[in-house]
Amino acid sequence: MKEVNSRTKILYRIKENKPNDKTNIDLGQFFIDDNENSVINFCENLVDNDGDYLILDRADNLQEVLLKEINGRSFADLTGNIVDHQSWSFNGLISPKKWSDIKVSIINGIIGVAENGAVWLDDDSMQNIRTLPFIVDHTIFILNVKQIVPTMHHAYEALGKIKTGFGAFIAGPSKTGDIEQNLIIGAHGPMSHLVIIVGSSDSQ
Amino acid sequence: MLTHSQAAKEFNKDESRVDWHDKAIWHLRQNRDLGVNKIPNWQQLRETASEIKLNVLSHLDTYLEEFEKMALSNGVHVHWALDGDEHNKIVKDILEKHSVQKLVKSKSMLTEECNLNPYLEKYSIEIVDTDLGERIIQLAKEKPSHITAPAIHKKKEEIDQLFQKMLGTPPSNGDAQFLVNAARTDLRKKFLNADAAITGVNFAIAESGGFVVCTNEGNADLGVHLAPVHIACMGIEKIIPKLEHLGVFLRLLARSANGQSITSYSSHFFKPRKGQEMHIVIVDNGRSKQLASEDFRNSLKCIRCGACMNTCPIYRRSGGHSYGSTIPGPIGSILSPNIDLKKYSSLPFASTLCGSCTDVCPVKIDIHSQLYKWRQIIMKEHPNRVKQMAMKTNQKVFEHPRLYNIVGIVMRRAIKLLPKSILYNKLNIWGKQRDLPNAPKKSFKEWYNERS
Amino acid sequence: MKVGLFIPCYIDQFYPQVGVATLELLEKLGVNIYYPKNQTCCGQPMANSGFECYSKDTCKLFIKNFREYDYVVTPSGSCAYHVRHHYNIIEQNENVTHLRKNTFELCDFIANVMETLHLDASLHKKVGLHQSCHGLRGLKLGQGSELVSEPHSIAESLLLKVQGLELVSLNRKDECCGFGGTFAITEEAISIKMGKDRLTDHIKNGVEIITATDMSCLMHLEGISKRNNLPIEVKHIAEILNSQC
Repeated sequence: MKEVNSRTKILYRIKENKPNDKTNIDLGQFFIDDNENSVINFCENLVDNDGDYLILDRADNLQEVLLKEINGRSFADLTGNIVDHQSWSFNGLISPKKWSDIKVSIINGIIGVAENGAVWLDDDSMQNIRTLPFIVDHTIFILNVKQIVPTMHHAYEALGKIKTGFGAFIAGPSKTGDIEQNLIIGAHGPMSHLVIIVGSSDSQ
Repeated sequence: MLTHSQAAKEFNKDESRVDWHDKAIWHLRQNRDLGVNKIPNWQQLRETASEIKLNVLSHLDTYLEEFEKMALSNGVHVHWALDGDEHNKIVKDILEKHSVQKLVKSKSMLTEECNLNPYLEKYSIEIVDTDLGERIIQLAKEKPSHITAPAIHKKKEEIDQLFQKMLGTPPSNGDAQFLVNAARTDLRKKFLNADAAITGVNFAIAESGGFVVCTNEGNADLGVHLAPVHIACMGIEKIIPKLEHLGVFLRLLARSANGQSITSYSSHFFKPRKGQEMHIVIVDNGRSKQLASEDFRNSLKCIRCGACMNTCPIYRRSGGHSYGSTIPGPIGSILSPNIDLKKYSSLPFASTLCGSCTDVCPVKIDIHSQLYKWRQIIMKEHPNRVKQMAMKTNQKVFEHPRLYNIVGIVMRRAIKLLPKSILYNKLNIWGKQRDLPNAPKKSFKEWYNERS
Repeated sequence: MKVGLFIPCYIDQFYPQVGVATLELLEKLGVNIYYPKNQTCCGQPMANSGFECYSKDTCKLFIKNFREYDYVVTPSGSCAYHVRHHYNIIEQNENVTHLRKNTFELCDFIANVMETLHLDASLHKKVGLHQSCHGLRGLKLGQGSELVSEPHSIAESLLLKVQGLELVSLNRKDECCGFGGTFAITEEAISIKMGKDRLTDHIKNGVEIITATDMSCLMHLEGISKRNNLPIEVKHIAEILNSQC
C-alpha cells in the first residue's frame, strides 16, 4: 500500500474536523473615515512611530531638500530626483555585502496610510533591490499628498490585486524595546526615517 | 517539571523582582489601551477579525489548497509537516541541499514549538536568532518568556553581563543604547554571511499564495533579502482568505501588543527575488486535532499578539517561564493541554477566571471559558486526589441543607474556640499569610429563623 | 413580584451582617423578599475546581429552592454569574431557563430591575470600589478597562448616591484581587501577591473602606490586611448602601 503523505493526512483531518460556516464578514463598515484630515493624521502618526516628515508644496526644490538631508553621505536614489550628484550604482557586480556602505536610500512610496503613517513600497519602487530600505542607516520616502489614504482598509482597496513579488508597509525606523523596554532606534537598519510629502493638502 | 504554582512560588521569593516584572508588563497593557482607544469602532474590528478567523476554520482545507496552488504558481516551494519532527527534517533537508552552514532566523514561535534550534545544532548548522530579544535569550541559553518580548524577564544589567561574556563587550552599566549597538554590530556580520534565512509567518493569504511577516526591528527582512534561501514556517491556522482581510488584522495586531498603530515593517512576500529560492513549510502539529473540538477550536484564531499575557495578573506575577510551555500566559494555558494534557495539567488552574484575557483578545477567543472547560477535562483524566476529596465533601454538604447547617455550626465553633496554634496549622494554606474571617455566633440563616 | 433572596454559603456562615444588610436594603426599597431556608450554595466551588460533575445536585437544589420566584437576588456577582452561565450542565427545563435569566446580582437588580433613582443612605468615608471580576466582566455590570466603549459602572453609580461618600479613584481600576476560589489555596503565592498589590493601590490612594459586589474578594483582602495590620477596612456594598450615619 502506498504511504499516504503528510499533505493528504493534514487535509483529510481538517476536512473531517472543520466546523460548518456560520460567518458573516462585513468590511464595508470600516470605510467611513474621512479624507479631510488624512495628511495631518499621517504626519502625527508617523511621528508617534519615531519617523519624521517634511511637507513640500511643490516638487521644484526636491533635489535641494534631498541633498541637504543626505548631507554628504553615500546614498542610493531610486527616484531619479537627484541628478547633480552620483548615486550608488547597483550594477549587479557589487555584492550585497557591500551594501552596508550605503548610508541613505531614497525611494518613492506608492501609498501612505494616515492612521498609522505607513508607506507602501513594492518591487517596482524598490527596483527589485529589496534589501535597500532595510540595510541603510537612513531612509527617505517620497510620497505625493494624493497617495495618502485614511486607513489600512483603503490602502488594500487601492492596492487591488497585487502583482509585485514583494511589498512592504514601512511605518518607521528599525527599533526595539527588547532591553527593559527602553525604546532604541536603529536595532538593525535605519536609525532615521523621513517621509517627504509633496503637494499641498488643498490638492487632495 | 514544576507545576505552575510551584514555579510561581519560586518566582515570588524575590518580591521586588515580581514588582519590576509586573510593572514592565503592565506598561505594555497601558500602551495597548492608549492605542486601541484611538479606534472608535474597535469592538466591530474585533468582531470582524473573529468572523474572518472562524470562516478560515470552516474552510481551512480549501484555503490551504488554494494557498498552495497560488504559492506554487509564484515559484515558491511548499512543504507539509504533520508534526514538529517532520518540520525540522524538512528544514534540514532544504539546508543540506544548499550546503547551508550559517543560518539567520527571525522570530517564530512555531520553530520554538518544534525545537528547531537544538535539532539543527546537532547537524553543526550555526543558527542565529536575529530578533534582539531572542538573541539575548539564545546567548543566555534560555527560552522566551513572552511571545512578543522574549527577554522581558531579563534586567539590563544582566544583559550587560551576558554581552560581556558572550560578545566581549566592555561593561556599560546596563546602557541599553550601547547594548543594542553592540548587538547590531555583531548581528550585521551574521546577516551578511548567512547562507539561508528562516522567518515565521504572521498571515498567509489564500487567494494570492503570499504571506506577511511583521517586525519592528526589520530583522526578518534583512535576513531574507540578503540570503539566497528563504524558508518561512507557518502553522496551518495562519491562513486568511483574502488580501483585503489584512486591513483588519494589521490594525489589530500591533495595537493589541503594545499600542503601536502598526509595526515598523509589515512585509508581504509573494515571489522569491531573482536568484533566490523560497520555501514555505506548513505545519499541523496537533492543530487539526484542536479543530475537532467544538469547545477549544477557536483558540486557533490566535494571532500571537501577547495582549492576554500583558493583561493577566497571574502572568505578570509569575513570569513566562513558570508555564513551562512554548506559549505562556492565558492563551498558552488553553493551547498547551491539547499538546500534552498531563504535562500541562496545572496551567488551566493558573487563573482566577477574571476574564480580562477574553476582553483584551483582538480576535475574541473566549480564553477564560476555555480554561474552565479544560479544568473539567483535566480533573476527569488526571484528578488531583486531595482536591477531589475536598470537592466530594463539598458535594455532600451542599446537597443536604441539614448537613450544611450542622457543618456550619461546627466550623464556626472550631474557628472561635481552637487555639491559634492549632487553627493555623500547616494544612491551613489559607491561613499561611491570611487571617481567617471572624466566626460569628449565628449564621445568617440562624438569625433569619429567629427574626421571623 | 415575588423575589427570592440567595445568600451565598460563605456569607451565610462568616458574614451574616452582609445578608442582613441585603435583606434590609431590599425591604426598604419595597421588595417582597423571601428567604428559602433550604438553600446552601450555587455549586461554584466544585465547578471552578474542575469538578462540575459533583455540583449537579447542588444546582438542582438551588432550582428547587427558587423555582417559584419571579427573581432571585444575591449579594454576589460571582454566584449570579455561575447560575446564569454554568447551569447548562443540568437539564434545561422551564424552571432552569427562568432562573438562569432572572437571577440578579444585588446592584444589578436595584439599578436595572427596580430602576431605583434614590437611596436613603449616608456614609462619610473615603471608599474604594473593588470591581469584582465576575460581576464586571461576566455580568457586564460595568465597562471593563479592556473594552473601548462608554465608561459605566452600576456599583459606582449606586455608591455615588450615598451621601457623604467620597469615591476614590485607583491606579488600576479593575485588576483582579487574586481570590479565585480554590486558586487562593492552589496558587497561594500569586494569590497573596495579587491581594497585597490591590490593597496597596487602595491604601496609597487614601481609601478607608474597600467595597465590592462580592464578599469573597473582600474576605481574601481582609485576611491579608488583618494579618499585616494594614489601615484599611472592608465592607460589602450592601452594607454601604444600607448604611445610615
